[in-house]
Amino acid sequence: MKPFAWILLAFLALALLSPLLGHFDSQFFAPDVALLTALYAGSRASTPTAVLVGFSVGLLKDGLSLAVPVGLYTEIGVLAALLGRFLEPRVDLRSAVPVMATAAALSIAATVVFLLLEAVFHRAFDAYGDVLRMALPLALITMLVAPPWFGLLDRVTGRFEHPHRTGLLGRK
Amino acid sequence: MLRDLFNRYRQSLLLTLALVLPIASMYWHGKTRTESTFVERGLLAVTSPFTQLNHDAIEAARKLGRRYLFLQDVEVRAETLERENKVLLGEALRSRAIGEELQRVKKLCEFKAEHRDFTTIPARVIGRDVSQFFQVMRIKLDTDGLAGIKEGMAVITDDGVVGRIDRVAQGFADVMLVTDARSQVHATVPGKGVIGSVKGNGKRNEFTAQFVHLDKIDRGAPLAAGDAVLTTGHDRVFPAGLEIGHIADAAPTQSGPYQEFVLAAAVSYATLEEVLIVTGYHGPDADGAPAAPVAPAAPVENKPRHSVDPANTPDSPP
Repeated sequence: MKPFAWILLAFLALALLSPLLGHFDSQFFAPDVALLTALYAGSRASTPTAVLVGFSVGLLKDGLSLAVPVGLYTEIGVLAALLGRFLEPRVDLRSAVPVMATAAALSIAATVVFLLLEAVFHRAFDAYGDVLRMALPLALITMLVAPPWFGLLDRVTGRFEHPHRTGLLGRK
Repeated sequence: MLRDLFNRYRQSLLLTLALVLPIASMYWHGKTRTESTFVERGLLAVTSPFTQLNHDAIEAARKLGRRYLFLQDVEVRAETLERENKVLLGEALRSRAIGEELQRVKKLCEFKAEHRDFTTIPARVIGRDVSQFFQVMRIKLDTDGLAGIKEGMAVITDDGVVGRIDRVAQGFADVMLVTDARSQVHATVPGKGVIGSVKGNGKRNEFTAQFVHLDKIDRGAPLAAGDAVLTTGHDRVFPAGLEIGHIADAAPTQSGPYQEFVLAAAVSYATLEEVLIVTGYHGPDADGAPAAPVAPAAPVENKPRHSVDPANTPDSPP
């Protein structure tokens, strides 16, 4: 049930953030919640589960942004989940600072992958300059949102796990 | 055997699929196409309701905030609406005035069509009571009819007699109303066997009529309040049959052979906007029947009181 709850939460956030920020003409500064969710799944779940979560949230993001070829964010989601699995034994992804640093680096890496995949699979795409200009602001906002987002997902996880487990937002 | 093989390589298979499927999808969807694929349609169908729901929720929250919490722009909006309201009110009043004017013009046109025995030109009233001592109003003449306007011509409306042209200059004319003390109009009351003249007494909407009975037999038909007093046309200024006013007080003052009645004007001079100037009509002959067309008589200079043809007017009272 946990992965479904993460996916649902990520989907709601994705669907909510874009129109919400659109009212302030700031939709381009929406944090990459799908990326954070995939990273979280990689750091908290097994590889198959993490990959499924990354795949699902990426696919839903593809569904919400049909301007890109379907599969682009899915691929990034899977890669982020695998990266989360790779970092889980090496980095403390239960503390705020490592989470922020990882999220920022991952956001920039995701932008690079995005550009590469667009260059390969999307011939009509020509907004490379815009994407590059947005890379740092997007990484910054994703970095700032990462700890509370991880904390929220921890709380959701706590509903399904042992109540003594500790997360970023404290004891459940 | 296959099951064991699947279980052994399940994770690798899943990883491969998870990495390869998106690439295949990108390859497939990256091509230029005119129609959405079933994957795109499926994603759209799944995500759109949530997007719409979120959008509606945000809109509702924003409106709620604006309307009830922040009251943003309310004052500015109120001022704008107030300004717009004033403009619309002005336009409504203008439309109403135009409508009323159209009604008046329509009535004048109908009146003109019904009275083909005399020709008229229209004029617009631009001022009233320019004199404190005389009942005069000023009209602006239609430029098309300027050449034909002469002093002494009758000014009428569909309601009745207004007066006569007193002065003409530069496209404007002063009209001496029938209530002016200098005015005199030959008149009768239909069916009462009386004839006489209506004279102004300088009051705004009131004047007097002096009647004499034509013969003794008709004396039995007394005049009553409300009886309409009409022009006879004998003064060769006003066409016959136009209403001058009606008897306001049925109790006459005897003055020699004449009975003097107080009349109320048929025309409301205060609200008069358009008038007709009679430029020519077929005056009646001695028997009262229509005769050859004649031009209205010119007023006697400096003696407007005698502008009525004495030959067609009963003897003045002593």
